[in-house]
Amino acid sequence: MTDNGRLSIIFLLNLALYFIAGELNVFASNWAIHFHIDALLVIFFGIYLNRSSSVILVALMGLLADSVHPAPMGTYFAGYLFLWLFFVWFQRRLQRHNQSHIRSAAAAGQALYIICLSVLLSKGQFTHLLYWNRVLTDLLLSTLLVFLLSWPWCQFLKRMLHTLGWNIEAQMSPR
Amino acid sequence: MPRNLSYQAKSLLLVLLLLLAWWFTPVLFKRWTSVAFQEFQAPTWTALSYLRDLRSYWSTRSHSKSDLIEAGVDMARLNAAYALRNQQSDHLETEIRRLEDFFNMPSYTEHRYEVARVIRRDLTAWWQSLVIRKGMNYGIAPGQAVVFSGGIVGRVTSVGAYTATVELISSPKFRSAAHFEGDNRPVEFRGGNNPSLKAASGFVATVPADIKVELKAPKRLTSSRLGGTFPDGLTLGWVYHMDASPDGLFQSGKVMLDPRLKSVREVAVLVPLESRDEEDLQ
Repeated sequence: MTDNGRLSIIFLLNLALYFIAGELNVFASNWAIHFHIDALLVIFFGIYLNRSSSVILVALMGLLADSVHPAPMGTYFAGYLFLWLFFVWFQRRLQRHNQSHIRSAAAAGQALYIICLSVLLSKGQFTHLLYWNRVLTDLLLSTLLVFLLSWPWCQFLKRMLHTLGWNIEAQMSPR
Repeated sequence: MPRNLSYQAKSLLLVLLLLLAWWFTPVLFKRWTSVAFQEFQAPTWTALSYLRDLRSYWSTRSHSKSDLIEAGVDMARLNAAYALRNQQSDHLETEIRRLEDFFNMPSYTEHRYEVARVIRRDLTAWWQSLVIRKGMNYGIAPGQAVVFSGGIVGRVTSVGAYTATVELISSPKFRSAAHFEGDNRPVEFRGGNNPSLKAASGFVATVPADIKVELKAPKRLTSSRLGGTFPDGLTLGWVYHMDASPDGLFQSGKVMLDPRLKSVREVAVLVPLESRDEEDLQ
């Protein structure tokens, strides 16, 4: 299998995760909760894959998310690219085989992303306590979920690539 | 690109380049991309909702026969009550037509109910929306009202080929004209900030000072046809308390919305029918 084929499979798995998250939010809405897992969708591209291929896939994920959210056009596209950049920047400090580093980077990225969206999309609610109450609940729950899932998710994708004949751990980090 | 740039700096330049390209892309192309990506996802969301229905079907099948018989008896009673109400409704309809002809009045806009399943719910701090399993293929258009057994759900904001997005009345961006039950003076309703783990709420403003509400005697806030979207008299929510404005002319307060709003599974879109005058002309 070619590298493009392997990357397409990784992209499709991320796409599946994106739909599962949507389904999870249908259930979570019964309790007025929303899980944001944007960092999970971007972390593998930002930390393990090379720049040229991963940036295109992240931009595609951003366009997908943009089309279904009623945010101003391009919010998720730009947001996912900056989130990817955040993980690329993190490569200077973290060790890819250390699960605490991966989990912390994912949780920090997710929390930062929600805070940025909360400030950008507040529109007159900035001073309302209830607004920040809601944002804080979503932030804590989403960050916790991302913290718990980021390492198993990256491990799963690495193993998948390994099965497809690409040992990503043997490659040097591009940092 | 200079060779001495680090991997991270090159990545930053790449992102800036992509954002610049996005910035200069014509809006028409961006809009087309958005629609294309939305339509690309729609079949998957629809398939997932069918899977949910299937799971619900199998869980319902596990009910015992006595449960089903009991439910059947309840349904028969409800059917009888609705049949009686239909007769009254027909009679009132005839009376309205007679009065309209008599006074030469324009008729109200009539609607047909397009029932649709909910396939996605996005209830965040920034927006509260639903995606339903019917779109242009059923004549649904942006701006149409969406209702359920508890009253108003919201209004259609965008329509795809087979799906439509509905902005809920609990969404912070939602605005509508309303009035209290038994009082025709218009008031302003808007969606509120909705904390987690609690029922949704809204906000009512410009309420005349003589309208009194108490905790023990709350007032029902209903939709108004003034906005042109909703028919009169459908429930928006209940108001338990209001505060007077500093000048004492108006009041404002919190509107408690139906708690089923955040778990609604099926809604009806009010698709306007051609008015009777137009029908007569044809």
